[in-house]
Amino acid sequence: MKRPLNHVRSTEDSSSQWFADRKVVQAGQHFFSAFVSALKTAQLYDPNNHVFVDHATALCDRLRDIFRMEDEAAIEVTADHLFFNGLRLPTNFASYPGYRFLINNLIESGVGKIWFEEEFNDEEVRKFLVIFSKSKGRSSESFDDLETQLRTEGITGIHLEKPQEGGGTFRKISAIRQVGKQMYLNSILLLKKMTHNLEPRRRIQAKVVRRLVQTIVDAVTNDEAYMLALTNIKNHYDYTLNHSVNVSVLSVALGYRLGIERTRLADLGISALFHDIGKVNVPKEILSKPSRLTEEEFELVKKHPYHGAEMLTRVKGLGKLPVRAIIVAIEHHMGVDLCGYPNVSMRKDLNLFSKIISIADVFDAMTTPRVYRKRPFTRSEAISEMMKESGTKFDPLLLKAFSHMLGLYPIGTVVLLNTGELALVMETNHNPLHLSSPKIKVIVDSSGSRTDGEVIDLASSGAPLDGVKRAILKSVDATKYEIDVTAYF
Amino acid sequence: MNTYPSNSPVIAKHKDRLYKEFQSFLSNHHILTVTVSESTVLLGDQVIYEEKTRSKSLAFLLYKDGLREISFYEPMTSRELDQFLDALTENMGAPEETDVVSLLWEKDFNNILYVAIDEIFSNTEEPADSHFGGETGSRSSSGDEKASSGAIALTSEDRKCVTETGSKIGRIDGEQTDPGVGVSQSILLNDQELQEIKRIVSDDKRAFNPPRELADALFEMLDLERDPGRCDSILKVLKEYLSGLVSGANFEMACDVILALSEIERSSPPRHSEYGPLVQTVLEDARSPRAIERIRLLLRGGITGSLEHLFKYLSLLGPGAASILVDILTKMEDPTIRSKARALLAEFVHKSPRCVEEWLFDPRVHLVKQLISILGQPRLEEAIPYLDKCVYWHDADIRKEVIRALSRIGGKTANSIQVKFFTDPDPQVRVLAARSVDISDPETIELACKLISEKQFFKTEMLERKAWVDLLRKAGSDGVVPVLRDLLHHRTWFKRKENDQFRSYVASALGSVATEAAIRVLLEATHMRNRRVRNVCQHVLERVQAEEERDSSNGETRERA
Repeated sequence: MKRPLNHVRSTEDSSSQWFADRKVVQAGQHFFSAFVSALKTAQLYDPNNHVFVDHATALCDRLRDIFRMEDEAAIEVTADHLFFNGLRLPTNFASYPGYRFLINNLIESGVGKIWFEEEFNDEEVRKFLVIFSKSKGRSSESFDDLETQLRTEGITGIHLEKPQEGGGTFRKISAIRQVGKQMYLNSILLLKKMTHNLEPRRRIQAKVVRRLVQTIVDAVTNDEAYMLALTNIKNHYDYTLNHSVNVSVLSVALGYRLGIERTRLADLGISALFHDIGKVNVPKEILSKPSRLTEEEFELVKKHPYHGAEMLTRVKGLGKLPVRAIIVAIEHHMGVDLCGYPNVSMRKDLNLFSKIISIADVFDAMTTPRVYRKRPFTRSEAISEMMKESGTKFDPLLLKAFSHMLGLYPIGTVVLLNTGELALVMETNHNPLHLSSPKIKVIVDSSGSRTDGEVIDLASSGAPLDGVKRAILKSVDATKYEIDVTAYF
Repeated sequence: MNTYPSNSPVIAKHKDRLYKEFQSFLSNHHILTVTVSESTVLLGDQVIYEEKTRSKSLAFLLYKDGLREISFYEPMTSRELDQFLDALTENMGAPEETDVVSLLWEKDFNNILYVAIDEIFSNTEEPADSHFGGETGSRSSSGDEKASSGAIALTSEDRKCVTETGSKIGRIDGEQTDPGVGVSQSILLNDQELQEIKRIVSDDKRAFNPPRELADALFEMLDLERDPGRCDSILKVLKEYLSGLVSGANFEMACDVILALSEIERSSPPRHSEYGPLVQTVLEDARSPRAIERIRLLLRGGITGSLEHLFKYLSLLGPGAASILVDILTKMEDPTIRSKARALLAEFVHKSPRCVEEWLFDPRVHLVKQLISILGQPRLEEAIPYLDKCVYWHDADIRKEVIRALSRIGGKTANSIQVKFFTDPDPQVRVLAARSVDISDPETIELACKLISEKQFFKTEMLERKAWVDLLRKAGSDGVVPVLRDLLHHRTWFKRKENDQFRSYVASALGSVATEAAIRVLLEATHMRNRRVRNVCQHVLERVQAEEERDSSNGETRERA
């Protein structure tokens, strides 16, 4: 029996839809893993080999799980992303090779979508895997061959479709985005309430924070691109608060890419949220001083890691906050070469969380307008500058992973196109071959008029809808053209 | 689950039954969804639970944190159900500090879905003067004007770029197109790097140890703290943390804290000689009577957590935790657990016998016997004063246990206390003393001879008399021969047969002594009127002679060889 729709609230309730979609994505991820394993064994082993049979059986079990909750089971590739029942499957570094493997197989076979009927049987699935694993070629002939073979083998419970022009039909992910943005804004306000509370012991409510960050983790794992886009929000109402939330989102996103598991992602997010909590003890005049700090003022600033750690140790219900939050508060300015501050004599290697958060911290700081800087770095420039400190301030591998995550043109970058248009990067491309071809939205046309165009996938091999072949020439400083990128997210 | 300890069989039974009920329902219906309101839980339209009093209401417990709907799917495992119940129990235990939705989130269920409202965020309001936009935001009025006019002119530099390079239409894959970026190929991760990332993450997960990390972090803070007065407040955090772990019966993590402290003490740089005392203050707090009593209360309440970790923690605390082990010895029924407690207590006693002193006169005889037995460790002379105090214990079994303990300890001092039992009122005690005492001490033999020579010796039971004779036999010196001779020649009017048996026993003892004096006594006795004793003496002499001949022929054989 499927999950009855009347047990889920109406789709207007974004919260419940989000949970429902998350369940489907979870099932899709299990199915995807089983499918990749089965396909690989089909390529390596004889159809009667027990290894292949076991994997095929596991795949069938996953399918049966899905049909208990959904009416369909379909996996689809569009614009280098995999979708399951219309919802995009997230990926990280650990799962990306499998992700890539399946996408390549689908593309090479000329297949855009595979869907299974509820009345499938195990024998059909095994035969299908064997046929599909041996399909080759890039032309539609390959697709036609496949279809013929399926018919010949009498496989009726599994169907193929060619790739659709302009992408398939997808469930709206607006539910996730609505919740994501609201949560992002609420995070800043909640943090403000906490840090402005007069009674130190009651400043930080561990249970509220944990709940908040869990929502951030869910949002990042469901729609990383959108959450990264939100980090373009640079609220000059209170830099520290906005910055803390951005660092939390960026850290969780990187942690997720690295393959850190869910509960520890929440710990990472909380640690990031409070990494600069010690700055509440630094006078605002110093933090926002437009000119160079004096020696004395800098010494005061350098104390904030210790003060932050001290504040965290006084949190009511310390056991409910991750211990690493204290460690990160101390370590986030130390640098991997330990030449930063504070200078602790009893030292060993930096904690993994500290390394991640220090990267996110500096990146967000560099890309934020500050009174003491003419203009902020663009996201690309920030990465470039940070690369110069790889191995000293930043862990080289993690920094590289961070850059990979953001892409050659990070989300929120304003780029100049060959057409003389200005565009905004809306989403990066995971495919290593298309790093310089993200999804963009033209925001200023060639005549200089502001516009709000459709999202264009520069990596798409199909002919552009308006007939214009676009390419990025370079990234530009949004402030130069007085463009507020946050308005587009 | 709130009434019984977590490892109680009652709980296991109820959980099992609940899971079976779930399975039965889900096998037919595949999904069970309940909705939660402030005071009720509904299945469809039917109220299946209602409790209006908030403090007692399970529904309100879920509702207050935003939970509105819970769905259980057919593949749900018993482990998932256990975790679900654990989350609810944890929340019930500390509703102010925990959030049931958070707890459920952490469990990451595959087959339990819930819908929650984020009410904790619903009251947050955006400040009137907040501005979610950059400093160059186009939301300003000038931006709006620009938006309406749409006129944005490229800079000359950008125009030039379009003119010169814009004609190259097509994808530029993997090449640097932006001189300001410089990160094109360098951001691609190769397979080796991906593997390295996997390793880093899994190593971090494996090494993850919150108590250790907290201890490290706090000691780093101590390193940075310039005000000595504030060191206490930092240490207080660690003490409270440790105390919290113990109160929650989380002995595994408590062990990690103690071990981390020891490591810090060992590895601290030379200039931080004050780390030792700082570590000790935390350890002293953990060993304080108050802290120990807290653990005892837990045990009395049946809350032990993992026993393996409990014992490990106690071993780290040291002899100060003896009272806890005594509680285990007296209250726990499981023999394996008692055996472990005993073994650990023996370790404590070895370090400090004093740790069991307060129970040596406990009315529980069985306990005292165990403690005395534990005190009797080979060469543990520090335990002797405590055993000495027990010499006049009213229970004979305990006195016997003292003798055994002293025997195991050995040495002159232990022996000097054992001989006190030669005049014990209980014959069994006297027998044990006679058999256990160290006969290499001449004073002991002297005392034994004196006691044997007294009139009341022959009023004792045969077993005891034989024990004394055995003592003299073991001594084996000429000094005991006169006493044995007297015993051999002792005649009685009553119980003659019994006396003859005893005299025969004495004869064999003389044979074992086998000195010249002993042999002379035996020879003399072969002329005795009592035929029985006479024959025994003759027999003993023959045996002694045969042994001598055998010994001498063995000696000749060895010489020849």
